[in-house]
Order: sequence, then structure tokens, then C-alpha cells
Amino acid sequence: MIELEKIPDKVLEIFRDKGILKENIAVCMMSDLDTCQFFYDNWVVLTDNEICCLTLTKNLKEKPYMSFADRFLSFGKKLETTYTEYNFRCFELKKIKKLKVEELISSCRLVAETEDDKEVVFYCTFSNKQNAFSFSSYANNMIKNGDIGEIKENRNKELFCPQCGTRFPEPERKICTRCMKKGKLIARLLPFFKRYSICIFLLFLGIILSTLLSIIIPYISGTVMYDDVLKVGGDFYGQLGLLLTVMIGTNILSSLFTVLNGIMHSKIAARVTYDLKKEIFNSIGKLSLGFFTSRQTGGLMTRINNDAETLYWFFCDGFPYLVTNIFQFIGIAVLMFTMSPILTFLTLIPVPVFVICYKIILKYFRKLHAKSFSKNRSFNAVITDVISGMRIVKVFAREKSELIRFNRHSKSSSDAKTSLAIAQNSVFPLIYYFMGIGSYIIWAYGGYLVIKGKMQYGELMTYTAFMGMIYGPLDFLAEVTNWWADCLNAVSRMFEIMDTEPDVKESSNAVSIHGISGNVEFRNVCFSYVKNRPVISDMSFEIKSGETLGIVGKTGAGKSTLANLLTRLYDTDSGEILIDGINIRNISFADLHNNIAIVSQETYFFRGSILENIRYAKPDASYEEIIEASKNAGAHSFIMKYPDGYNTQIGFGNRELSGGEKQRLSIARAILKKPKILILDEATAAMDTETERMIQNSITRITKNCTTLIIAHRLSTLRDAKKLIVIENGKITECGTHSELIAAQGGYFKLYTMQLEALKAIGIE
Amino acid sequence: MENILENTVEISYLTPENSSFFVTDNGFLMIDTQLKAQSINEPPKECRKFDLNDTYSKNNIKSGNNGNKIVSAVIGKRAVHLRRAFPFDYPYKYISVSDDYGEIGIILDVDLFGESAEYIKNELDTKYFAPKIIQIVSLKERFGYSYWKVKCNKGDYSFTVKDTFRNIIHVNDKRIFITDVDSNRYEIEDIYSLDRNSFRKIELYL
Repeated sequence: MIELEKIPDKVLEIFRDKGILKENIAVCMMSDLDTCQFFYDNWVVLTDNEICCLTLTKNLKEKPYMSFADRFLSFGKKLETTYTEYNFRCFELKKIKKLKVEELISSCRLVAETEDDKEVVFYCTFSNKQNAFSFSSYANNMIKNGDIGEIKENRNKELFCPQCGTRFPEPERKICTRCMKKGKLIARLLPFFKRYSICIFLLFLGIILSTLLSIIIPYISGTVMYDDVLKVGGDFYGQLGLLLTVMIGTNILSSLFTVLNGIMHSKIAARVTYDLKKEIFNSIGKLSLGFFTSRQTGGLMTRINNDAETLYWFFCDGFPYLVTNIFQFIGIAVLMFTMSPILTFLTLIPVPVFVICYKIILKYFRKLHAKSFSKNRSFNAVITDVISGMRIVKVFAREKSELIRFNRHSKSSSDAKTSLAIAQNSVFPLIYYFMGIGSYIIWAYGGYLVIKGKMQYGELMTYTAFMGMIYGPLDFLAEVTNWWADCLNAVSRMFEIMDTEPDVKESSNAVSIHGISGNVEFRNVCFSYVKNRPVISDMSFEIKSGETLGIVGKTGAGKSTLANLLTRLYDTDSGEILIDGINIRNISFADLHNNIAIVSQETYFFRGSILENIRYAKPDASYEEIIEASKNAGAHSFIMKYPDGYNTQIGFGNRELSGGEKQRLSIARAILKKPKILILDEATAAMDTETERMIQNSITRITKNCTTLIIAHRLSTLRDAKKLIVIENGKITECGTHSELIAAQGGYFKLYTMQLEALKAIGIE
Repeated sequence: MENILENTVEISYLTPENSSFFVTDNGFLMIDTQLKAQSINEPPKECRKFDLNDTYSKNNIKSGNNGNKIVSAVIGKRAVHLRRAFPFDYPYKYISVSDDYGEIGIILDVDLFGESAEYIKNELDTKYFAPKIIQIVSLKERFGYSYWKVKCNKGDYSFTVKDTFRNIIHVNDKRIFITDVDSNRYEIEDIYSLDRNSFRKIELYL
């Protein structure tokens, strides 16, 4: 039995009562919706002759919200789940022609097509989509061949945490956030600190010393000053000079330590975050393109930067402060206790109360902060949006409405800030006032003790100074857990990137090939971006070295995908791609990419000069080579029109190039490399026909010995292609030379006549 | 070659006068109309085979000038797919109706269809399945993912959302859609009508 999802014994029992024995079940899965799309456990099984769906209501013997007493009583007992049958339906396989998974907007369903009608077998949410596809393919095999056929690897099983059963949020990264040990995260950070261990040791020593000094200072200016120096009969009565020297000395020492510590931990924190960022950027570079397209990478780098920043501040600001305060707290508490236990007790009682108060208040403030932050963020987004789209705003005369939009966002942002500021200015003075009550108690009781002669006046002064030192960092201590949580989040996100395994890996025994001749062969290639949705299915073709192949097809037919596969931005699902008879999976990345150049639909240029951008393909190219490549790409003339020539700054935030100019630059970049295989993916779509022809001529000239793949939907682009293939829905539908395809009167002929008609319509023939 | 442009620009409206809807015994929505799907050059392969035996489409097969059989879109009774043009603004208005060949036309308002409006609405609700959250039992954030336990109009469910802030779509001031890691969608019709505890849990993400 293939269990796409683990079937409980209790459910099997119910199936058995229906006459379906475990031995007869070939495949089972659970869909989470019933036929009315309500959430139920709906078990679906496939046997030799039927598909049965059993909808169950699940009753946990455990109460959903157990009180502490309940938990205590049920401790150690295994909680049982019972199932009640809700619905049972069967579909005979011999009546079904075919099963199909239909994807709806955010759920899917398995539909059985019979001779004259169709019927829904089950509904499920997208969470079970993968299983539904597998189930349907097994069942279709059963219908066709009476056998489930080849057993495929079930990836879904690995999606759940083996310990607690929670789903892994990220399939590629099998880490359960519930079971993840926080300690492990920190342990992984430690190696980054290891190389600075001497610095860290010194840092801690410094912290301890400066803490000691900071405790001693109030003691000197309190107890020693009033009780020993100023008081008649004190140990150091009248020795004001000595006292001052000691005071100044300790102060200087303490400041010195603070400065040294500051320098030390800034250095360590900055270096560690630098190391982390370097490591992360390194792993980002290794990831395959799929990683970036499969998730929202908007601001991926910004996020990493922010995370690193969070870490930096925690280690630079938070951590030393925390350590200092803990040492200080312990030191002061001990010292106070030796002076007067009762008074110490009175001082410390309010501490937990204040910490709890702070926790509650700061939670509220976090909300306000978050609100203000998000309002501010959307306000900034509006500004950037409008300013970069100013041309459109002006063309459509929408300045007024943009102003209104701006005002609205500006107002809500300022409102959020106002309410935050008001809260801050009213809550905190109130807290300080309540904290003041604590000191009143000390004054009252301490004063009483002094009057009674049970305590020295100087001691009382020391006490009040200590109290300030204990109460001062309370707000920080209350917030530190949140800060810590943020820090852990940041660490886990950074490790997420480091842990992701690239889909496309360089083979461990990759061969390096020198001087390839450029024979390319696709052999039964299948590929899909999303599982079970084939983009390329069973495609085979061959290009001889030096030949030009034209690829024609509608948008979305899979033309650009071929280019992505050949350059190994993605790997094929099955089948192989060969260059000079070697599977490209066995060719080292460096060799593969040095021999293939691609000019794709999307042109991207880095921030920098035109020269740097062209040179990107071949960093050691001479100036002559660059000019030659630009001339061949038709870029030289427009580059020379700019006052700064090849040094003109382009890219984000600099001079805007037109669509055609960008394409010409990217062609120049590609041919500079003198590749053996050149892929032009709609590379000339944004140019006028004359320029296109001119560039094509020069490309043909310089790529005489080079295998060229031209992808286009404008047929004039393909006029140099000897051989053409027409792609439709990921399959080659036609193949041959231009005249052969015209003679065949198929899709190519249709496209050709259509483009001809279009020319006729405007009077060109 | 048919004139490509003229076919595509004009909106054809489906009204009770030119078409009617009904459902099969198994609940699949069908249309009966003399209108054809527009602007599709080539029918999907599966349909081509199917249509040759189909009585409704026999008159739609004609011979091309090279002898190939060319199938134009069918008329009469056939299965349809519905799509909302403005799913957030009008769930039952501006509904695009298409068959296997392409869009047949647009229904301005489903309610125009009187009794069969119910079928159409059912079909739309099935297709645009998005449970409405009525109570948030628990909402926990752990390491950048939020874990939700909710009570919906479709029963109790729990799901995980990544990068919560980004995966909440604000349709208007009070209505939101939440997309989970599997791209399932959940709706909260009015965040302010949630009970106090639920609102407090979600407040931070708004």
C-alpha cells in the first residue's frame, strides 16, 4: 500500500467494515475537504476496481482546551482519537475513462470523466495538491493497465516534522520551528565568535571591572564620604584630599574601562556581522535561480542586511548592557544585603512588579511602534512610487489625486506617530512616579533607622544611589526577551538561506572541456517549473556545430525555457542535454558558462559605466575588443553620442537607456565573450527592422563558427536560421527549413501568412 | 484568414435572452447558447477529437482550403468555466464565461438569470473557495512564520503563513485575504467585527 499520508488503524477498521481490506488498498491519501468544501478528514483509497471516499468527523478524546487539572490527570495516558463516519462514496473504475485534477483558484478537485459525464471524486485544499496529483496518476495507470505502475518518490511525507507532526513551513529546509532548539541556533553562531575569543575574554574582564568600579563609586561618595570623612570620629575624618583623589581616580578608571569595552565590542560585533554577511552572500551566489523565483525575493538582500543589523545591535548594544546590568544587579544586591537586609528587602520587592508592568506596557508600545513603522513605510512607498512614475502622473493629469493620496498617507503616518508620542509622554512619567513611591518608602524607613541611630546617614545616601542603579535598567531588562527573540529570528532567517540546498548542483566529477565545437543535442527532455505541470515534454532536436536554429512559438510555449535549460539555470526533470556528446550535468559550471552566451528578453545592467557592463562578460577584454563588440552589436554609434562615451554611468538611478539600446548593449556583452554557443532570446524584439537586420548581419559574420539559437515570434528575425522548429505546449509540432514548413501548411504557415497579412494591411508587401 | 482584430474588441454580454444555464446531475454547470467562443485560433487538442462525435459541433467542422478539417468553436449546450473579473469588488458581477475554446461572453450581473443564478453562484463559490475566518483561536509567531488556528465558516482549520505582513492582502479598510504557505486563501470579511480577542491577535499584522 502506498500511503501518500499515514492512514490511522482506526480508519482502516472502518474501511474493513465496508469490505475494503488493507491488502486490497493500493494507494491511500487524505483530502481535507468534503464535497461541500467543508473541512473534514476525507480518506480516499484506490483498490483494483474502485475508488472509495470515506468522510469522517474526528473526535479527540482530549478536550480542545484542557485546564491544568485535566492535563495533570491525563498525564501519561495516551490520548485517543475516535472517528465517526459522515459519508461514504465509491466510484467504479471500469466506468471511469480518465481522472483529472482540476485546479481552482485556491483549491483543487479530482474529477472522474465517464463515458458521457463527469463527476467530482473529492475536493482538497492546495496543501494536498501534490498528493492529489500523485493519486490521480496512480489511478489513471490502474484504469489503463490494471496496475499502479512505477512507484514515484513521495516527497510529501517529508513535509512534516517527525517529532511533533507540524508541517515544515519550507519544504526545502526541514526545520520545525516548534522543535528547533534555540540553543542550537546560538551554538551555530559560536564559530563566528571563536576567532575573537581573546578579545571576548578581555571584554568580559573589562565589563566585570567597570561594574565593580561603578558599584564602588556611590559607596565612596555615600558611606565613605559622610560616615568616614565628614563625620567626627570617622576612620578618615578630615582627609578630604585623599577622598577626592580616590573619587577622581575611580571615575577615570571607570570611564577608561567603559571606553575600552566600547571599542572592543564594537569591533567584535562589526567583524562578526561582516563575516556572517559574507557567508550569506556566498551561499546566495550558489543558489539556483529557482530559489529566487519561487519566493518573494523582494528585498531579500535588504532583509538580510536588516537581520545582520539586528544582530549587530544586539551584540554591540544589548548584550554588553545586559551582562553589565546582571553583574551590577548581583553586586549591588549583595552589598546592600550586608548593609541592611530589611531595607534591601523593601527595595527589591517592587522589582518584579515593575518588570511585569514594563512587560505589559512595552507590549502595548511594540504595537504602537509597529503601527507607526508600517504607516511610515507605506508613506515612503507612496513617495517613491509617485516620484518614479511622475511621467505617467503628468501624462494623465493626476497630480491632484496624487496629492490627495500623499496627504492621506502622510496624515495617517503622522497620526500614528502622534499617538505613539502621546502614549510615550504620558505613560513613562507615570511609571517613574510610581517608581518614586518605592524611594519614598526607603526614605521613610531609612530615615527612621537613621534617627533611631540604627543606620548611618551615609549608608542611606549610598542606598538611594544604588536604588537608582537597580531601577534604571528595569525597562531594558523587561524588553530584553523580545530583543532576544528578534535576534533569534534574524539568526534563523540567515541560516535559512545558508541551509537551502541548491537544486542545480555542479557534478562532483565534472569534466572540463576545452575547445568545444558546439554540437548541441536535446534528447527526450522533460521539464516543469511546478511539479506535474510540464512546460517541456519529451523534446528532442539537434543542432550541428556552427548551425543556426530558429525556434518559433506562441508566448508561453516554452521557448525561453529551452534557453534556461541549456544554460543550466534549471535542470531537466528527465532526458538529457548534450554538448559535443557530453551531458551538460557533467560539465563544470565554469566551462559551460564560458562557452555559452545568452541575450535574453530581460536585459539587466549593473550600476556602473557602459564599459564596465560590457566588460562584465570578459573582465580582461581590451578596449579594442570592447569597441569591436559594440560596433558589431550596433551599440557604438549611440554610445558615442553620450558626452561621457563608454564611461557613461547607467543602471539603477542613472541614465535611462531605451529598450533598443539596452538590447544592443546586451548583445555587445554577449558577443564580447566570443562564445561557442549563442542564444538570442527575443534579443532584437525592441529594435526596428532595419537595425535588426544590420545587427543580424554582423552577428552572422562574427559568429561564423558558432552554434546559434534564435528564439523569436517575429519571423523576420529568423531569416538566417537554416532550420526551424515550431513549439506548441512544450512539444515540437513542426520542424524543417522555411520552405519545407511553408509547404506543410501547418502552424508556421499560418503564422507566416498572418504576419504577411498584417504587412499587407498597412500597405507593405 | 478571419479578421482577428474585430472579433476580440467587442464585449459580448450573456443575458437570459441569448443564453441559459443549467447543471448536470453531478453538479457541473452547463450553458445553452447560440453564441460562440471568440478569438481562439486553434481549439485544444482534446476537444478536437471529442467534438467530431458531438452532435452540437458537427455543423462547425468545415474543410480548410488545403483539405484539413478546421473546427470552429461550438454552439449549443456545453460545459463552461467561470471567472470573476473583479473578484474582490464584485463576486457575482462581471463574470467571464468561457468554454474549452475561449471566452463566450460576460455576465453583467448573475442575478439577471433568475432561478439559474443560484447554480452560477454555487459554481463561483466552489471555484473561489476561501474559508471565511470567524474566530482566531490562536496565532503564534515563531521564527518568521505565523501559525494560525482558526474557526471558519467551513470548520476549524490550522495553517501556516510565511512573511505574514506581506501575505495579507488588504482589499479595503476592513476586508483582508490571507495566503498561507501552500497558497490557500482565507478571508476575513470585516476585521472589526471579529471578537476582541481575535482582533487583538491579528492587530499587529494590519
